[in-house]
Amino acid sequence: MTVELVGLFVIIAVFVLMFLRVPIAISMAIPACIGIFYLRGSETLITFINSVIWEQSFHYTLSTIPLFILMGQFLYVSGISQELFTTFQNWFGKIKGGLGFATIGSSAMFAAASGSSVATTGTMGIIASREMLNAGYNKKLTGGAIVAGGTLGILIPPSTTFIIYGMITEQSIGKLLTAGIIPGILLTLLFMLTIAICVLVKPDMVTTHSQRDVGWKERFRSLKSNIWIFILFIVVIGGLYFGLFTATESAGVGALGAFLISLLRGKLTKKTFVDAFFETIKTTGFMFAIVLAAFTLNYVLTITRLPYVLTDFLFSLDLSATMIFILIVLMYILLGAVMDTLAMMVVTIPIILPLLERLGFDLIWFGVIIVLVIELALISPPIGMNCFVLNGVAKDLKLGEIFKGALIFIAPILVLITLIYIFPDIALFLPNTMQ
Amino acid sequence: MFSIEKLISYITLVNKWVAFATLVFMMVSVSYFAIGRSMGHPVLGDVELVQFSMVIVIMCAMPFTEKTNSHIAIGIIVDKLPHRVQTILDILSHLLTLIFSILVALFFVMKLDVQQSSDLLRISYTPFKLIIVCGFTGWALEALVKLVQSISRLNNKGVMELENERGIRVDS
Amino acid sequence: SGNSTGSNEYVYELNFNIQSNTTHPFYTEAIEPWAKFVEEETDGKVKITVYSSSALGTLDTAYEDIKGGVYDIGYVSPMTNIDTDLFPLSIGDLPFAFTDSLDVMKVMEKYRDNFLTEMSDQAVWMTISSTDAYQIYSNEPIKTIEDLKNKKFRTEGPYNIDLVKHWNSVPVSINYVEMYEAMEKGTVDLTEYTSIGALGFKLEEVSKHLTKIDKNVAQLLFLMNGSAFNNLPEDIQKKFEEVLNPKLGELIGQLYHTQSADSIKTFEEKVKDKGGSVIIPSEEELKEFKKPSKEIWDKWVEEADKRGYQGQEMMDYFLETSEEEGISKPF
Ligand code: NA
Ligand code: NA
Repeated sequence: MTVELVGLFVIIAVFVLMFLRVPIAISMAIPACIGIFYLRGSETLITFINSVIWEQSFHYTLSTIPLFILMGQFLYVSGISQELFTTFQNWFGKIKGGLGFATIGSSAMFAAASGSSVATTGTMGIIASREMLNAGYNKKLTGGAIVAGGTLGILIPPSTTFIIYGMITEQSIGKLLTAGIIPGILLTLLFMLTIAICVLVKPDMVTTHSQRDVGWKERFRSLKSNIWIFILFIVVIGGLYFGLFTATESAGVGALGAFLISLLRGKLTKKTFVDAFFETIKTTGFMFAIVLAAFTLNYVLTITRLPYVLTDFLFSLDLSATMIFILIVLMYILLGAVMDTLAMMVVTIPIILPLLERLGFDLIWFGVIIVLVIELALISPPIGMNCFVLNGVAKDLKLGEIFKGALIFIAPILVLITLIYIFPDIALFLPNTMQ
Repeated sequence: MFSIEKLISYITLVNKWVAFATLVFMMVSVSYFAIGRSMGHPVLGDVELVQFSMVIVIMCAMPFTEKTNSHIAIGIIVDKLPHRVQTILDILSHLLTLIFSILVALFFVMKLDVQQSSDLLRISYTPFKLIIVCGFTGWALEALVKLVQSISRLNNKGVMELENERGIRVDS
Repeated sequence: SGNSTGSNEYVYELNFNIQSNTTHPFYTEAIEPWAKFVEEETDGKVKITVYSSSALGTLDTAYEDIKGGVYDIGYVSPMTNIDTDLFPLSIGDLPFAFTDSLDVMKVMEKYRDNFLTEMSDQAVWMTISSTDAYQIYSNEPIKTIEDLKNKKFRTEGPYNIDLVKHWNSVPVSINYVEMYEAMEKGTVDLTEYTSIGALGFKLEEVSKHLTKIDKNVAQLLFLMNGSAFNNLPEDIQKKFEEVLNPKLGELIGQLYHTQSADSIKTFEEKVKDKGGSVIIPSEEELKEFKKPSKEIWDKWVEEADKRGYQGQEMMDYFLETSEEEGISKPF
């Protein structure tokens, strides 16, 4: 059996196990270990497992992940999410489709303190779904707006996805995080535009018109809760941008800052304090299990030279860079339909890295593209984590309705991918001007 | 069996609290390092302290993650199958998890004699490699508990019918 | 590991893991030509597959990885392996021990014959070489050791950190990967790096001055996995020992030897416009830079004794051999 064939069998085994509901980390690790054992024997397998687990856990940069997760947890505990929504409600409530804007806006604000899309969806989902449904928004639009808003969690910094991408590609985490700011704001606006177009084209998407109309004084007063997050964002991401902190340090300061905010707001009890940590530990556990397993899988794929075979094949087709780019995005859309997003990224990036380098793509820029295709994956059927999470927290919304609503928001993401392909500066302007 | 189960959940509990304490330490110390450094007083060995803390947090998180069913699995096909088939596949999952985690623990025990210490603070790696052994052993034990539970469920038709459909567990 | 192709010709495939990428001169000028050379010299019986950018493992675990066969050929840094049987070699990484990679091969091959007799048989010695010498990169000109006082100095490794402390700088241990950013943001005031490596990392964009003190080199010990070597037929094993291994050391030595001076010149041209310079301290001043390293050398002897070696004997031999090769004592 040629080594390339071994690689192929390993990949197939991974997919079979995944769809048998075997935990993703185990689905990757077991075939990979068998592959290593088959190709290079037990001594190599034992040495490799020792090296890879030690290297990936004795890791400075990756400590940003638990710390940023912790920061989001504290913000959640602090009860700020409800106030965020109310603020946007005060400002946009009068406009038709305004609650949709409020959902997107408050999700974007929450994203500025949370590194995860699923956490953003889960947090805003509880609040926004209730308000939107009560105000007569149809279920599709409600579900779609919430899961789309949730995807902003990994585009607007902080973002665990950028961190893991940066670790795999050896790019600066600080630059990657800042690269997400402008695309994040743009996507927020594009999502709002999508809602505006929806209610314009199909006015029956909102049956009763919200009567919420508060004075300017109240509007400005309600900005207070946003100020907290804004200050935290400036300290954390500003500190990173202006070179005061490393990525790990800014995550540490962010977590401590969020802790202080929840303390000052009087929302911290012994229970909520401990729970914030336990939630973080759980998330850390499953994320690192996947990362460790994916690195094991990557080793076996590398020694079977599968990535190089793929690169050579694509180059032999003599396609233009744009065509290859489109192929890559299409591949991710297909994979993203059926795969877990973290696993998708850690498995595929090392495979296409030689290709990206040969094409001369900027890896910071490509990081933003990857995050956008992952956002697509999070809301596309049949496997779309954001939709599952919303379905879990908002029982009034059926999974089918959420997915149908989510489809509307695929368009703005694709528009943004196209825009960033044509104007790379949308992503690169900020990181290139970093101090 | 009951007392063994109790012992296992006690081990997981200890791991969980160790991870908790380390994470608290990490949050506070990283902020301290950051502020110290930006004021012109870098702490020597700050990076290594974070690295060692990470090993503890990750490894001690493993048993707790398994106990709380937090490892991501894709249930899109299996969720629709008859409960008996689901339980059989659960047994497969738990068995593979058990094999993997026990093997990793074993592999680390086999290489424990490799002497190494950190560059700067000259802290030995060995205690931390033992923590990796503990973490993966704890994970294996939790998987074992679930394996036994699934097998007994398979033999008990009443429980089988009562069992709720399991959704997909998530986070990203 | 091997692979059979055709009817009777067996091709031995060896995986070679390196840390740099395929555009780095380390690959284009040394590793790639060597891989071709091996194939030619063995009439295609040995095929070297090079994996770049640490694809199969990082430098930190390299010694274990090679012994365990994670890949067949690679290099390790004696400095990061002082807790292993490679400890005796760390003498060559001491500050001001070497300034040139070709010297490393000449001295350390002899030293090895005397003091590295008990190396694990899971790894086979191929050759030893080193990077070019480490220099100081800064934004404020560093002319004397007075200029180093209270500066945040990026460095790695126990001997380097000790020396930086002796210079009254504040050592900051940041990985070289984050060096550019640390300099750019002022996280550190100074960094040490090799002149060839510095160009690769574009240090001229974030620092104005280079002070040429030839602080030390980082040795690179090339090893082959033991069973991969034993699997080779005897004639090929012999070819490695007599022709191929020395050729690898030569290619790398030559690369760093010839490109080091060019790199410093290139740096000078690139920083000229922004008022930067290459500073070459006078003999007197250089002596001051070197003086504190005496203590570190003494400490090394103590450390060796503690580990059960004959520290002083090793040191004496090392200095003698160095002198025979025309390398003068630093203090
Ligand atoms: Na975010
Ligand atoms: Na999807």
